Amino acid sequence: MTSAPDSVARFAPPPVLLVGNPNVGKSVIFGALTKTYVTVSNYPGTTVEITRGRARLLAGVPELIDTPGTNSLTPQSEDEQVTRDILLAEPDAIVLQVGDTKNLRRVLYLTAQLAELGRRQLLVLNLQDEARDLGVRVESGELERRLGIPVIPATATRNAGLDGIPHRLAEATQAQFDSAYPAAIERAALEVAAALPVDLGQARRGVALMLLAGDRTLAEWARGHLTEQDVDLVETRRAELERSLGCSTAVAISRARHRAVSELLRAVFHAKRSRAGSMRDRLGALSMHPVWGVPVLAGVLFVAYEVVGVFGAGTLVRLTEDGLFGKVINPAATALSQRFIPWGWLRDLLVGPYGMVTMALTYAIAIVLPVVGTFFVFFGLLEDSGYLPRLAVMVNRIFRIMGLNGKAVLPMILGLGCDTMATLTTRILPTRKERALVTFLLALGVPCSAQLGVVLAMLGSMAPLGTFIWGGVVAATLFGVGWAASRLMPGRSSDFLLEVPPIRVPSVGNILIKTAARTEWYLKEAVPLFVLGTLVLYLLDATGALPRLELFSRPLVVGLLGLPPQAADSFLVGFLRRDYGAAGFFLLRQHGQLDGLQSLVALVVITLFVPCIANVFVMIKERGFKTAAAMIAFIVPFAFAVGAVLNWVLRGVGVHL
Amino acid sequence: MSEERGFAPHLPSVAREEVLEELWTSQESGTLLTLGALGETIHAGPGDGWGGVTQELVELGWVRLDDGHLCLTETGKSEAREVVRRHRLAEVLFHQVFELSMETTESEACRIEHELSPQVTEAVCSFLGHPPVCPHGRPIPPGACCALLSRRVPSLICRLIDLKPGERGRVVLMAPRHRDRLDQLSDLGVTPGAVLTLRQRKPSLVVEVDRTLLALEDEIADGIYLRPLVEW
Repeated sequence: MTSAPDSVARFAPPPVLLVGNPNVGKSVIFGALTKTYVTVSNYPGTTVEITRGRARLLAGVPELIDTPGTNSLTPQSEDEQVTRDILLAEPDAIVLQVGDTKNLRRVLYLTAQLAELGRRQLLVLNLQDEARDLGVRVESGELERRLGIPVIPATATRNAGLDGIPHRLAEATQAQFDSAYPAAIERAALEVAAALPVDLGQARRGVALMLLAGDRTLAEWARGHLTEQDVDLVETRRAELERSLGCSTAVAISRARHRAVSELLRAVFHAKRSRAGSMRDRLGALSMHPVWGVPVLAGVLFVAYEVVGVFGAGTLVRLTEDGLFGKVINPAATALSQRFIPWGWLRDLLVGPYGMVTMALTYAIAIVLPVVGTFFVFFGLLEDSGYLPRLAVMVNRIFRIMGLNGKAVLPMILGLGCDTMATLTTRILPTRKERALVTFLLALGVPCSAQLGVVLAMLGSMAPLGTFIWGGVVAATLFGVGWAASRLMPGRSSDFLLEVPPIRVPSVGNILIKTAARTEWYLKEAVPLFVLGTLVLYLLDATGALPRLELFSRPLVVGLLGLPPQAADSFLVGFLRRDYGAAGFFLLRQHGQLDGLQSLVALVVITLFVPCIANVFVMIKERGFKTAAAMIAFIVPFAFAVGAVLNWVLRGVGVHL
Repeated sequence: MSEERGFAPHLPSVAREEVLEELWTSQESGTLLTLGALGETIHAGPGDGWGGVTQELVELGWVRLDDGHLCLTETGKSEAREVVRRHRLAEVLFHQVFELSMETTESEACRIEHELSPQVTEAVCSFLGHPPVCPHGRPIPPGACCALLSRRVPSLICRLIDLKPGERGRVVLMAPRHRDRLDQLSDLGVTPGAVLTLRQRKPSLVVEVDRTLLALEDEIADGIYLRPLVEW
C-alpha cells in the first residue's frame, strides 16, 4: 500500500465493502448507491472481477467495492478467495453485508465469520418480496437487538428500503455473535491470535480460526506474515485439535457456527411450510425437467436464433454494414484519404483491402457489434431470469463426456456469441484443467455468431443433409476431442455443485445497464485486437508474404480437400478471422465455384479452425503462450485432417448435395 | 479370538453356526455337500473336526443325511437363515457404509455374525434401509422388520441418492470423497441436522435446503446420509 499524505488519510472516509452470498442482489445495491453501471447477474460466479465505484449516496462519498459472492470466508473458489483477501487487505473498511432474507441461515453463517474478523458492519436483508411470497417472516428488530448491528430490510430491485443504508451507515459496528467453540479450539485460537501481526487488529481471532481450520489458501499469506516458528505452532495445534476432537478442526468450527446460527434462527425466523405451486416454481421446475426441459431449451434456442441470428446478424448488420459503413463511412474515408494522404502505404493501411477503417472497424463495428450486442441483451435476459443454471442442470451429464460439468455451459453458450469473450469467462470454472479444456473446445468447434451467420446461410443453399452432416461432424469432433483431451490433460475436474436461483423476472433497466457495460468491455478489449489482427494481415500483404503463403498452401487445399485453388485465400484469411474465411467461401459459392460437397468440406474445416486472431491473443493472455501454442498446433492440422477424411468419405460414398 | 480363525471346538455354538452357514450357501447355489466336501470347503477353515459338529447337528434334527449329502431340515434352515442374514447385513455395513476393504469386511462379518442379538440385527437392518443383497450380490434373507417394507416403512437411514423426488430427510452423516467438499457443502447449508428435500433426480440431482435449490453430482449425493422424514 502506498502511504497517503496525512491530511488525505484523515479525511478520506473508510471504504465500504459489499459482501454477501451469491445472487442476493449486491450488484443492484452497488448500482443504487453509486448510480453507475455494473454487471449484475443471476449465475453464481459471474461477478468474477470486482467492481469499484464512489458511493455518491453515502456520507463522504466513500469508495464502494463490490466483492464476488461468497458463502464462507474459507474460500472454495478463486472468487471467494478474492472476497476473503479484500477483507484482509482492507481492515478499516465498513462491511455492508447483503443477504437473501429467505436464506437467513446462510446469511448469518457469514455474519458469524465477519464478526470474528472484528468488522464494523451493517446487514441488509434483501429480497423481502421473494421471502414474503414464500411465507417467510424475519423479525429484523429482534435480530438487530441480538446482533447489535443495524439490520435493514430491503427489496433492492424495487428500490425499497435502501434509504436505510445512508441513514444508518454511521451505526456500523462489530456484530455480537458467539459461536461457542469447544474449549480446546478457543484456547488454541487465543494462543495463535497472540502470535499474529498486531496490524490485523480485531481480525486476529478470525484469522487464527481460519489458520486452525487448515485453510490452504492462507498458506501463502502465512509465509509472508508469520515467522516459521509460528507456522509450526499453528500446525502443531491443529494436529492436536484434530486428535482430541476426533474430527477436522474445520468441521468442528463449522458445526459450532451452524449451531449458533440455528439458535438465533429459532428466535427471529418464521416460515410457513410453503405449498409448492407458485407460477415461478413451476416454470423453474419445468425448465429442468428431464422431458419438458428439452422443449423449453428448444424454445430458448429458437428465440435466440430469431433475436441474434435473424434480427441482429440480419436486419441490424444490413443497416450498419451495407448502410452506415458501405454507403457513408467507408466511401467518405476513402475519399478523404485520397485527397489528403499522399503516401500509398498509409492510404492502404487506412482504407485498403486490409485497412483499419475498411476492414478492422467495418468488421468490429458494422458486423460483429450488432450481433454481439443483441447477443448480450439476450444473454442478460437468460442470466437474470435464472435460466442458465437450469440449463447447466440439463446438460451436466452430456458435458461429462467431455470431462466437463454443467457449469461449463455458460462459456460454451457465450462462445456462440463471441469466442473471444467466452474464453475470458472460463475464469468462472473451478479448476485449471476445466478452464484449459473449455478454452480449447471453444477455439476448436464452437462457431461464434458472426461465423454462424455465414455458415448457416451457406448451408441453407444446399440439401438439408448438408446441415445434418456439418452439425454431426462438428458435434462429434467436440465430444470426441473433448473426451480424449480430458483424459490426456493433467489435473482434476470438479464435481458439479451449483446453486440454482429462483426464476426471476428480469428488470429492463438492469439488462440495459449490463448490456452497456459488456458493450463497453467489447469496445475496449476486443476492438483493439481486431485492429491488431488486421495490422498483421496488412503487413503480410504489404511485404508480399501473403501470395507466397497462398502458393505454399495450394497443394493442401486442392489435393487433400478437393477444393478449387482460390479457396486457399479464404483459408489464409480464415487463419486470422475464422468467419472472414467463411465469408470468402460464401462468395466462391455465390459465383458457382464451389459445388455442394466442396462447400460442406470447406465449412467443416473453417468451423474447426482457430476462431480469429483476437481469440488467439486472449488464449495467450489467459492460458499462457505455451498452452495456447500447443492448442493451435493441434487445431490447424486437425481441422484439415477432418476435412480431408470427410472429403474422402463423401466422395467414396458418392453423396450429392 | 485365537490367531488361527476358524474351527473353535471350545465354542460349540460358533462351530455349529459355521456349518449351518456353509450348508445354506451351498444349497443356495444349488449344490449339496458331502461331509468330506464340507470339511474341505468350509469358510471357517478346513479341518477334521467338522465331522463331530455335523454329527451334533444331525442329532439336533437340523441337518439330515440324504444319500451321503448334507441337507438342512426345516428347523435347520430357519437357524441358518438367521446366521446368513447377520453375516450379510454385517457385510453391507462394513463395506458400503464404513467402506472397509472386502477382505476386512469378510473376516469381520464372520466374527460378528455369531454375536449380534436379534434386536441389534433388526436395528442394523433398519439403519441400512433393509438392503436386499449383500456386497457379493447374494440375497439377504429378510427378517421380520423387512416384511413391514411392503408398507414402505422408512428405513432409519438412507443415502440422499436413494430418496425419491419429493421425499425429505434430515442429514445425519456426510462422507464425501474429497474433504474440501465437506466445507463447501457446509457453507451452502448442507450440514448434519439440515433438512433436505429431493426435488428431482434427472437430468441432474436437485435438492432443496432451506429455501435454496442446489444441483449436485450423483457422487456427492452418494456420500450424504439422511434420516428420512415421513410426511403425514
